[in-house]
Amino acid sequence: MDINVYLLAGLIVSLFVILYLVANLLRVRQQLSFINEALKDLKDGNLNRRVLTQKNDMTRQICYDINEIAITSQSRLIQQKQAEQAYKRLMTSLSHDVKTPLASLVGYLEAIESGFVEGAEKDEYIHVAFEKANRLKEFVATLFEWVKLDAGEQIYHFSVFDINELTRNVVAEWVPILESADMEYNIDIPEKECPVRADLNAYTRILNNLLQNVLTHSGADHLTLGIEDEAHRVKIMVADNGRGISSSDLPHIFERMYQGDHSRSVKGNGLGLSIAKELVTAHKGTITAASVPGTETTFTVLLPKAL
Amino acid sequence: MLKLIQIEFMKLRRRKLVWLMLLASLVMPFFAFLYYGYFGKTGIDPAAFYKWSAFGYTMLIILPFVLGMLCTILMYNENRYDMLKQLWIVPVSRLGYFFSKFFVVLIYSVCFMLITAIASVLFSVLPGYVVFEWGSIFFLMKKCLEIALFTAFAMLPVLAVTASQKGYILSVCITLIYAFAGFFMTPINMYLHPLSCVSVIVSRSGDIPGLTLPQAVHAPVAILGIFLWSVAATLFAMVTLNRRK
Amino acid sequence: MNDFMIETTQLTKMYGGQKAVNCVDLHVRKGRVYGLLGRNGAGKTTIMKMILGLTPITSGEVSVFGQNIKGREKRVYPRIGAIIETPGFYPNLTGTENLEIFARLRGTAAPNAVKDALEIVGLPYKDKKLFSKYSLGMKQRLGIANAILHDPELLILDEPTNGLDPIGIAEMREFIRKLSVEHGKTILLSSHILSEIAVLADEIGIIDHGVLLEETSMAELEKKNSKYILLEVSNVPKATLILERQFGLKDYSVQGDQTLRIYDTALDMAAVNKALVMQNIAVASSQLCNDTLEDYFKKITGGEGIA
Repeated sequence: MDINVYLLAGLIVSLFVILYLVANLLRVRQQLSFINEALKDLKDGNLNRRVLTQKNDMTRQICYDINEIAITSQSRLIQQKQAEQAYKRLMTSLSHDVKTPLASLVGYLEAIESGFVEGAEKDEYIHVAFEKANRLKEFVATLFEWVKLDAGEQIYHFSVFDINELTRNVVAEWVPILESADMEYNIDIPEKECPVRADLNAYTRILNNLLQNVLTHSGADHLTLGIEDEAHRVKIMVADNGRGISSSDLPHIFERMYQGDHSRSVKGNGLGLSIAKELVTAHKGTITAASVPGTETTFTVLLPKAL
Repeated sequence: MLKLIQIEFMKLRRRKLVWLMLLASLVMPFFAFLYYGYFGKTGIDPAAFYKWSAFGYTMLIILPFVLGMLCTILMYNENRYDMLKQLWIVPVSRLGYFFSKFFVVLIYSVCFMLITAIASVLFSVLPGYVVFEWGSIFFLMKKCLEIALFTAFAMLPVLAVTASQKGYILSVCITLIYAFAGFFMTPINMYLHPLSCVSVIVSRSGDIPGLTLPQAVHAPVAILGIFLWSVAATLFAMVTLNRRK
Repeated sequence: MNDFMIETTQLTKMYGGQKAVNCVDLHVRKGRVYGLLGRNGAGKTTIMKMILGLTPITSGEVSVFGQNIKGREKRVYPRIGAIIETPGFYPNLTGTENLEIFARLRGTAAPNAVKDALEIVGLPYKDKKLFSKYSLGMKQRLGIANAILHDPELLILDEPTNGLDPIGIAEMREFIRKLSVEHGKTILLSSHILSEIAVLADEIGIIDHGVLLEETSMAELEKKNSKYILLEVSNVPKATLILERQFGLKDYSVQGDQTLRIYDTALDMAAVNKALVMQNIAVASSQLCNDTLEDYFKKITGGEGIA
């Protein structure tokens, strides 16, 4: 009798085990069919399709990997599309920003060539044409720099510099330019050494662009440059008392200015601030601007110290 | 299904009432302990003790009531915040949903009766009323498991009704009525009410003293009775769950 | 047609004798945000429930992903994420535990799906706060987290900004935009707030009393929205006389005691102003205006505007 009971119990247990295994098998088969369907959909181009899986499923790693592939492909596709669109925008704005000064330049030269002007006027025309040509040249150079930056092809060489010393050197070169532009200036750079990891050319460019921006766009007559040493970072401020930037424009000044607002990019330096921002970001810092329209503008660059 | 049952237990976290109700399994063994303590005898027939501690009121009233409350709690938890519409779009099949709840009731029922059994043994052996012998313990365990299994099935109608309710008041009332109806129906006709069918099945070999039944004991008929009620309950549940939109 | 994510044909729902939804033909295109706009009780939620198969359809058909959901639940539901009415969760569990339950039920697309979803909606991961203690905004966020937990291709959101504070609403808007633009998800959302739909949706469907009054793209709508000249004068009857006699204008409407709308925007306003002033009619203002979405909505629902 006992043996019978044990046999029966054993039979029932093995029955349950078999049922469990069969259920498992069916589950895996169903999961495989889901994976199949999803893969077909992915092949057809629907990169949004996902395969769902449980944490204890045999096929989970496969499912996670398929999903990851779909996600990366999709983001790459979207990035590509965005890059294409940005490129298109660049091309249209570019053609405008180069065609316009070029057309004007040709106009002046034509006038000179056809003998339309003489004497002093002719000299003036030549002078203007020369200026325009130079500006165009600078613009094209800046543009190429920006394109390089944008494409990520800029190569930096970082070393530790004393930011104060570096700034002093750059400013020293600007002093004559400021003076000839009748710009009063106030430079406040501390004596203590302040080590920062920087690329020499990039940092020089940042300062140059900020100072050039003040000279060209602000219409100010007083410029202040100051450096403050904080615990983990250094603050470089360039302020002017010029016409300022309106609060609606303020969030966009670091953009590439190629959104079709050509009245602002007349001087071609919509790129200057954008380049400065790229370079500051490459130094792992931040650049911000604050302004009281009509009174003053301050640009603040924060760079992490090399500790 | 295993996944669903696992999830059902996850949903019971921090529901202290559910775990406290298990203590109700100690009521009758304790009572039997006091009862026999009053007589002060030793060497009592274990079956007689167990009749008081496990097969009597526990089986007939306490267990059904506790299981009914459990059904109410399980269903009310879902219906209170209208969880069902979120469950259907997972998707969870209605049958799977219903039976996962049933398996929780079943497992709970088994735990309840196991505790009853262990408590019965402890309350009978330790004070010395009953002699410790494996045979009677084995008997007790067998009977307790049978009670647990069949009562769980017998409570399917209650589970179906609670599934259809939005609130808990009616469900609790139905539970009470159902449990007492079973109790009172037993002397009249044992095969009508599922709970009385349970009594029939459990006492089929006539080895439970004191449990007298009016009609002849046919265990298969009782099983059939429970089965029919279960099927009806399941169908009712399917209809209600489909309707509730 | 196969390139509609959701398509309903003559979808109707009757409650008793009442037609809650009346012969609605909805078309949601892949990768777009479709806004269902209507007053409270117009039938938006009922339509969404029927699309999801939560409510039996009285008559008409619904196809999602080009197929009927019935019979293919296991294959279709995992591709949809939805919030219908107020999202409910288990009050005795924390937010994370609630999501874990759904993650177990459905399966997930990535190993840390719960953590990522909570991060996206801005709720803490594995914290101790029970769902019963959540604020309305948090409950809504948890609902959204649940809807995106399995990275579905199609999202059906019933009033997603319901209960959120202004910052939450702005975040939700950003989030929906991001889902649509960066991830190419298809979104069907409903709202009774015009400004929301105007900002979010690519296509809108206007529902009133269960009837789909119009289904159009936002671009089309903006074109259709009539431009008019708003004229404020001191003497409207006299002004209309002048407009009709001297300018032969027929296309105008009187808006109030002192306001006129002229729909012929090619009219020479300088001449009109001069003529009016010469007749001693003071012109307070004359400006070019657009119908807002609200006006349009009022127009086609023939009435009281949005609740």
